[in-house]
Amino acid sequence: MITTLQLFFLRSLIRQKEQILSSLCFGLSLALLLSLGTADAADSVKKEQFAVMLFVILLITTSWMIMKSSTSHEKEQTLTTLLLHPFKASHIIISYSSVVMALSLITHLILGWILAVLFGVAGGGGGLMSSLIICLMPYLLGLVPLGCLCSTLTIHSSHSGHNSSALLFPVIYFPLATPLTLVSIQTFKLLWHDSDSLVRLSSYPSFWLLCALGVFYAVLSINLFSQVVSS
Amino acid sequence: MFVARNLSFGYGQAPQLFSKLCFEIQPGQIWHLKGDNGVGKTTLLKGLLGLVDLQFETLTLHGSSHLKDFRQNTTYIPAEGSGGLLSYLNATQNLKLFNSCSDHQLDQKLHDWGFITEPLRHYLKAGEFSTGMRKRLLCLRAQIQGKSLWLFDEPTHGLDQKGIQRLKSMIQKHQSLNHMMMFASHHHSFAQSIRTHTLDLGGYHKIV
Repeated sequence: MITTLQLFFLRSLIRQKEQILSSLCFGLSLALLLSLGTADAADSVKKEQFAVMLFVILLITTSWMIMKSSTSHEKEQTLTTLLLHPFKASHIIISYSSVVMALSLITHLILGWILAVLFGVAGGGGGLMSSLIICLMPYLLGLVPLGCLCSTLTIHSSHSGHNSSALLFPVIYFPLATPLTLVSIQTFKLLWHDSDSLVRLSSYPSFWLLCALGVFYAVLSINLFSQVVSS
Repeated sequence: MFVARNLSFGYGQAPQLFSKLCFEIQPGQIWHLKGDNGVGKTTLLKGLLGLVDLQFETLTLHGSSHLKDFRQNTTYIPAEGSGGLLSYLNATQNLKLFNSCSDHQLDQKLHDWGFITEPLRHYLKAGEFSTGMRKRLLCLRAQIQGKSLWLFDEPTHGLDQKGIQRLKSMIQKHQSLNHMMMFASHHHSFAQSIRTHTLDLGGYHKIV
């Protein structure tokens, strides 16, 4: 059941490739602008700024991708179609989130590498890409289902005729995503600066906190999604 | 058999659109849901599928009151909107989505429903179809799915005379299989020709 849905969402996202391309191009533009703004900074400052900028860009581009995709699914009445088929609400959000997570992971690894080149920090520390992958997985695990939940809430409330429904997404999503982003930045900096980070991974409390937050947000979003959809 | 007892619906504090509505659809029955604009025909059809929060005492299909079973055995065609057709897929791709059907069978059925040319069947996207062609495709999808309860909202909207005739024969075949249907329509001659029962929401609620 989930595999069928995953294939459906993957095809749907690939067919509407402008969603992935526009978030990638948006992220690239941000990366270029931010790197130009910090061109004269010292190397140590650049490294600090790189980690923060990277996750801020990831937060914005992931939100962009989810919102664009949700708008398109709303237009197509995809959720109603799938619910009437009938697929379970939890299967829908799990399948959709897993596909978006996989595509976001690829997109953000490309963005991370380009940003590192632009900041001139690509060669430093104990494995930029491995640290990024380790942090991105729990980060996206929490962020993507949360984004799906918030965009669905926004769409549902706009259908109910609430005038302030458009405010729901920024008001709920960004404050909830902020702790996850802060812990991700902290964990990424620690892992990136440590040449033996993979060996000592379990000794980093911030890594466990990131995993716990990711799992918590994922479980919460999946459960609430079913409630929102059935209400 | 489909049993509904004491169905009610109202928006917030406003007076209820309908209240304590009761009906039983027996196998082979075709129910016409009639009433003026705004009396709650679409709301009732959506509510039966759990897309709108109805209050009810009993709602069972083939003895089951689970929403999942209900949806599993029901096809809904809305009056407007995509009706679940994905705009970026062509007619064949839309029909094959979550339904198992061979290309040859589909081609024949699409041809019968007026998708005569190859571009109409395989190249034109559903988003480019006219209202009538979209409605034909939705009817064909209902036919292919072969579920035991059809809930159609204004099924003739956008259809030409040939399309309406095709729809009538499709409904008669559905009825001959002892399946059930409820439809909302303002097309009186069409409704009269296929209905076996009427549920009137206009003014007062009664079972005829």
